[in-house]
Amino acid sequence: MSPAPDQYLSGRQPKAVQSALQVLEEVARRGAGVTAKEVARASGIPPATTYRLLNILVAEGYLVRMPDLHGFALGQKVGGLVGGAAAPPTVCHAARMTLHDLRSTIRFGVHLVLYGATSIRVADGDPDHPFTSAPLITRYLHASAIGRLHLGDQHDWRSVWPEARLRAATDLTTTAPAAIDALLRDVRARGHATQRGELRLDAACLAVPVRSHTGALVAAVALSAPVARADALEPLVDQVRACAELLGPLVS
Amino acid sequence: MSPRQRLGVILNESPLLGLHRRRLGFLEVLAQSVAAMAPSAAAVTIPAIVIGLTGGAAIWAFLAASVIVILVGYCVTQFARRMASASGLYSYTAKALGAPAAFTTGWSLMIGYAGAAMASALGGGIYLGSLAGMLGFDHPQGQLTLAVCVLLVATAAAALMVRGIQLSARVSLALEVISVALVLAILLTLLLSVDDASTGTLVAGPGFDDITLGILLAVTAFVGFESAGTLGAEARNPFRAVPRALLWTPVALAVLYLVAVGAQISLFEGQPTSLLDGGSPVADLTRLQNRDVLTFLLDLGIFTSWFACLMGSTNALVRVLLSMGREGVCPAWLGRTHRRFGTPYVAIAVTVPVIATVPLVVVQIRPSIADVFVDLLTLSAYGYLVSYGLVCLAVPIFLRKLGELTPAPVVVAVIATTSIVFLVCWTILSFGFAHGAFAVVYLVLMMLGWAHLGWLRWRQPGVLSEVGLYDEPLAGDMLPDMFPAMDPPEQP
Repeated sequence: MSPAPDQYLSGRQPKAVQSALQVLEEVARRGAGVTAKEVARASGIPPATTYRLLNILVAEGYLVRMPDLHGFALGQKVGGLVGGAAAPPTVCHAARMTLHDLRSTIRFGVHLVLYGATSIRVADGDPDHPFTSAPLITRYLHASAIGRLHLGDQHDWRSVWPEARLRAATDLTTTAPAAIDALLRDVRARGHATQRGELRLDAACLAVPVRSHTGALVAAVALSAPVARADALEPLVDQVRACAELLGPLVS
Repeated sequence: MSPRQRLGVILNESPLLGLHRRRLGFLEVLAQSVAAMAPSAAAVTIPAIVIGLTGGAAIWAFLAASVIVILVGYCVTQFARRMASASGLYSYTAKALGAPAAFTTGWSLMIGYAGAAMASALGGGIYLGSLAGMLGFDHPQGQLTLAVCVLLVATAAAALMVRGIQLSARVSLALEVISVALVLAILLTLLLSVDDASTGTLVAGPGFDDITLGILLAVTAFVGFESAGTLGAEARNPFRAVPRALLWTPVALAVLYLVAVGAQISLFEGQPTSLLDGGSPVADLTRLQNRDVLTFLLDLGIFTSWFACLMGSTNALVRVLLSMGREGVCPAWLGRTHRRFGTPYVAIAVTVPVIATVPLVVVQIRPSIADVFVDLLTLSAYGYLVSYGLVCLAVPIFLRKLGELTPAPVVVAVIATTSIVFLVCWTILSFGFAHGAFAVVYLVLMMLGWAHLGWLRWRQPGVLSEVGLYDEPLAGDMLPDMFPAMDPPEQP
């Protein structure tokens, strides 16, 4: 026997719906990997209620519990709400040809990554060298070259990436706040970011910013290599920078 | 020490690849739990035993058992809401207590599933023979007939299980509906014919020991309900369907058992007490009253229940084996799945012959078939109860590790763990739990498992870090590339 429709949901429990939406918002705002405790603290909803809401949202597919079971990320269903927003971004033919030229002279993976308002998106991944999963990068912004460019571009990196999120992805990950300060100063001074074995033990990366005519960071050209060949990345930086300059007007 | 990767990379393919991911609806998940409990077979055998021990207090024993099992169910949902597993309690405990405790849970649970499956194969064989006899198939009574019947039942079950989890779940569901309806109808019919002159032959004023044993036996009527947890990868909506099945199966079955116990208390009042000592008193009662149709229907109901239980227990067992095979804890070929049917067919092909032959061998050694049932089910009950105790113990640790600890689950877990530990220990100390010898068999089997664990530790220590494999969210399940919002734009 199913309950009568008016018993089912009176629509008079706005608090539950509001809290659920608030939880969803909080996960969207804080990005992949946010923990249940962080959501509870930020939203001000009692922990037990927050945990229950998180589990309901996971069951419904709006959120996903990350593989380590601690953190949450937005689920594929959220993409469905906004239609095409979750479809992979495309870039123009000219930009693609520019990347193609670079790839033909370099033996490492070459990827074009776009910075959106709340996400990074792989616009043109290297077909021969698969891109490290983007959710991994967004969980460890401080450990990835692409994330470091983004953090280095902020006034105060702590405003987007609280110190509590400086977690280690591998034993090599830099997690001390002071070390991150120094590292990001270095990123700004050199104009590119690097990482070796800090995100995945077996991979190293170098990322060069692509800027619009106003100087805003809109994208990055990232090189990825096996960690054993990491030393070969640095000498290529001028060549990559030239490509990034060509791409500026094409992707912004 | 060389540096190591701290956290898993998000995968593009499930570690349980090969099973048909996200297919089963809620009813099919529910069917798994119900089938593995064999409710109608349990409803006509276990109450009679408990009534024999405790008399009219049996209803209280069943009530207490229901509460304990519902609490265990609540504990298991704490995991089922958070991870979609193919090995149920095994992978759940792994996330909280680590590899050795998880292996102990998984091994013990496999003993539980295997014991239940063996009893079911035997039960299915016996009732198939009896049904054939009543239908007029003239066959010699004896070991050979029994062997043929058991093998027929096992082969049919194996074929359904290999053909697909969806098919075997649907068949189980249909069989369970039929058998529960039959058993309820028969109890009702018998009740209506009871004459009021009750002579009060049942035990009056049972002792504390008897009640404790009664509760423990009543708990065994529920074991298998947790097996919905092994369908996490295959359920369409695992975080909704599996917890719901885990919560509702014990509640619904508690109602069925309480009705059955109530009915049987009135039925056995005034019957000779020797009736309660037989293997299946309700069937004996129908025979006593010369009701051939009722006997036939009851046998049919119990046959279908055993058959469904054979499939339910084996389906759960092979999924634990599949997970262990994928982890490297067991040989990798146990982790193979059928390309078209998406079932662990190698594990099925290996386990079903064992499940069919072991009871046939035990029948040769033990004096009566009723003893063999008690042996297998006692062994299986130890397996289940130990793994229940461990999984309840794991709840607070699991939630604390995730940083999602709240008071309610801790309270429930403490009550559930304590009652299970108390029941098992008390009955072993005061009775040797029905058959003391089988506690020894259980321990020997567990030691074999621990020996295997020790060997793994020695030869392949890396494997143990893989324990607790489950159906992780894949890159395709999450919205790609989310990261935290940047500084809010300056408002003019």
